[in-house]
Amino acid sequence: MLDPEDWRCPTCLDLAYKPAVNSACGHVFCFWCLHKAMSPYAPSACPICRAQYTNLPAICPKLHQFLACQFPETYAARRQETEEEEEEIGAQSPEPQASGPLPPPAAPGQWRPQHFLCDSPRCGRLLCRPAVLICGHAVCRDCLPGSSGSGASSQGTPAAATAASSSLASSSPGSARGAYECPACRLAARQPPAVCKQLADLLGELFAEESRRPEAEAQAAQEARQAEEQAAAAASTGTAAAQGVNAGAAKGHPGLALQTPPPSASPAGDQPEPQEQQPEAAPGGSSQPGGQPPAQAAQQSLSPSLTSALRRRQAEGGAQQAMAERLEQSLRRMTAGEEYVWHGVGCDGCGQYPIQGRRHKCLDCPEAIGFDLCGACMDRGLSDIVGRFNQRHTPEHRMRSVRPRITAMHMLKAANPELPMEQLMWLLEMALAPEGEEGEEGEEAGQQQQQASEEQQQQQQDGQQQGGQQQNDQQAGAAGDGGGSELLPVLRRGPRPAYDPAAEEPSPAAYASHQPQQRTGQQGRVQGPAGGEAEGLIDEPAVTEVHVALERLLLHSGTGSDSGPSSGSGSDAGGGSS
Amino acid sequence: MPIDLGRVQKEIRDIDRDKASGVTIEVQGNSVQKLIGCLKGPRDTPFDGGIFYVNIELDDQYPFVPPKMRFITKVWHPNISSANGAICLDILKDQWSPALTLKTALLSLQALLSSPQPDDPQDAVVARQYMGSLAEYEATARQWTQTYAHAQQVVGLEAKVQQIVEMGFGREQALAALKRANGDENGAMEILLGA
Ligand SMILES: [Zn+2]
Ligand SMILES: [Zn+2]
Ligand SMILES: [Zn+2]
Ligand SMILES: [Zn+2]
Ligand SMILES: [Zn+2]
Ligand SMILES: [Zn+2]
Repeated sequence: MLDPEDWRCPTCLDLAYKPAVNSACGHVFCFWCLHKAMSPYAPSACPICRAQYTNLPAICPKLHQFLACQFPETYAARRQETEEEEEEIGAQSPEPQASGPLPPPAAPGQWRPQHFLCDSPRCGRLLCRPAVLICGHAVCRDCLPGSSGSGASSQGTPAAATAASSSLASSSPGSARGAYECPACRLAARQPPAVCKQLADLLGELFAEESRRPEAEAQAAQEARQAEEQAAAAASTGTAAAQGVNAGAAKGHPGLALQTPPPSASPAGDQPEPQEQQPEAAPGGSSQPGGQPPAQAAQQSLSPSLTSALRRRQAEGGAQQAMAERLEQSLRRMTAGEEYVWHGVGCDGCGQYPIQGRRHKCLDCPEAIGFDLCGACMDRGLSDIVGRFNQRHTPEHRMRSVRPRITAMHMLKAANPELPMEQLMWLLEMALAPEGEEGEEGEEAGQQQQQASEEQQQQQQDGQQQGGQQQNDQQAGAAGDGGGSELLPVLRRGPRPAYDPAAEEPSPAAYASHQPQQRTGQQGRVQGPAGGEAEGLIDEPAVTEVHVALERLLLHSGTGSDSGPSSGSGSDAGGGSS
Repeated sequence: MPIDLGRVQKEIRDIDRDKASGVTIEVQGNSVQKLIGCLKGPRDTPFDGGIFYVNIELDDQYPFVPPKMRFITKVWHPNISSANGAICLDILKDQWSPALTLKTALLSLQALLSSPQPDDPQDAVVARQYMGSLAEYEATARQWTQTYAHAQQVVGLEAKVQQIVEMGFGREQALAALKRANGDENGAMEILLGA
């Protein structure tokens, strides 16, 4: 393990720089590489083993120190490369703190067990079967509090289970507080951390003697824990089975179900009255997860114009009615309480990406990438947190919770709850791709992607006939060669700045220059006095052009009415009154 | 952000070094984002003895998005369009992972040639034939291999491509024109000059 090849990052194929360990499986990547491999819309899959992970881990200081001292020239070159790239994208990775009591060795190879001590204050011995946690701390697997098995799945309600077909909800039992808590910094993970095999192998090689001794003890401890875990697993088999079913269901993808019906002849006279269209008895109301006031949460997130658009659809009868009802039901479920997914927004406390449930945003961090916390991290309290991207956040900064908002991606997901997000993205990309791709194939049978893309194109054409200036521009952009390539990256994976749906411009640099104005705008809307606590809700400004265009496409094309999409100040006023 | 040049160059070097893998790759022109891959038809299949060219395009976000691949050589296979070479393979779509490489992708194409997946077809006509009459499918596939991918054919094709390239046309252009002209170099020149 002293060969640089052993520490090659599997995605850039270079020496891993600022190594981050995917705690779900223990695989090691560069911090940036692991981030770029994440989906902004749904839980991500490890590039190597496809283990699902929901959190961007912090850099592991111990591995960072090891690589920097063991391979000084290569690591320095990697640093330079990465810093140039960071300059370009306008974001930074944090500098890892000291990794232990000993200063780094003077020369490569002079490693001592004190360089690799367990971070648990109750242990402090040489790491044994090390797990690197989402906070970057390394602890012996047996120094972790075992999964108690309680809590983890207690939140699941039948309704939540159906909504979980995305596999997102099912994988993140938001209430697993206390399970897998870091003994050093108390950050709780939602998933059990795995042993980092690379680090374990390194320790075995460096300290053959020392690492053999605790092995026997560890073995015994492990067996005891396994028995415990098995008992716990038996208790939650039900959930696991349900997940299996969902995964199976996702296989038979029926193509994009979200159809824009042909332009109806109905005149645009029936203007909606947004304020009054609040849902009194939504068709999906009965299936809401109990307890919470979900209806209220949904009211806040489904904008009046969106609601009225759906209502209009429902009134049109037939297939449209069914579709609109299904959509509204899914949307309400997706936006209620802990279900809402903040596409493209990550938590700077625990690294959850995308954030699910409550989101709290810092009003004062000037960095373009922003500073956000998930509900759990907000509740934990924060003092000297360093953001995942080195934001200089301080406890004096004002945090505000942000109101969930339906975007085109949520609608797409709501209309196709059985499709995994990755597949939706792919279908969408195909639909928006410059024409001539799958061209004059003409063979309809069996080719779902193609069908879907054709449907989507049909929708686009329908939409275009309806007019709407912005929409036309957007379509023209999508069809044109260069325009298409400008639009598409917004929909794909990639570094966080480009995907923040809150950013009006996809480019982080452009966003930075807009930021001050936006911030004052938001402050104006904040309710209640300023302070560290999250009282009033704030609304995020517009989503990207693509989102707006899609929204129009999906919801407004049949009506000809020019009521804008749910963003903008009009709907904010409605939300504020509740 | 521009494409990760370092990674692509490493990949190309790695493929060049590994002669045993049976796949090769070549840069088109001076951008590493357009490449041509080449793979041998697997033994004991109707593609045995054939040499297949694959057009490869890399997006700026590669390897975080899959490479775009399409057969240049005409292939008769349920998961490959007989009309335009488009490929239906999960790892080139939503199952792509940034830890996969051009080499693994080309090897997967080779594997796809050995084991068609008619449940998820790209070419419905071929798929129907495959399901209905395997012998007929194999005969057609073998005939296509002989006509379009046979070694002599390909060597001859390569010479023709070179000829056209020397006259100042791009390699991909030349290949495309030759394909449209069914391998006739004069026809290809007419297409190129007429366009
Ligand atoms: Zn890397
Ligand atoms: Zn993994
Ligand atoms: Zn320990
Ligand atoms: Zn920790
Ligand atoms: Zn968090
Ligand atoms: Zn801040």
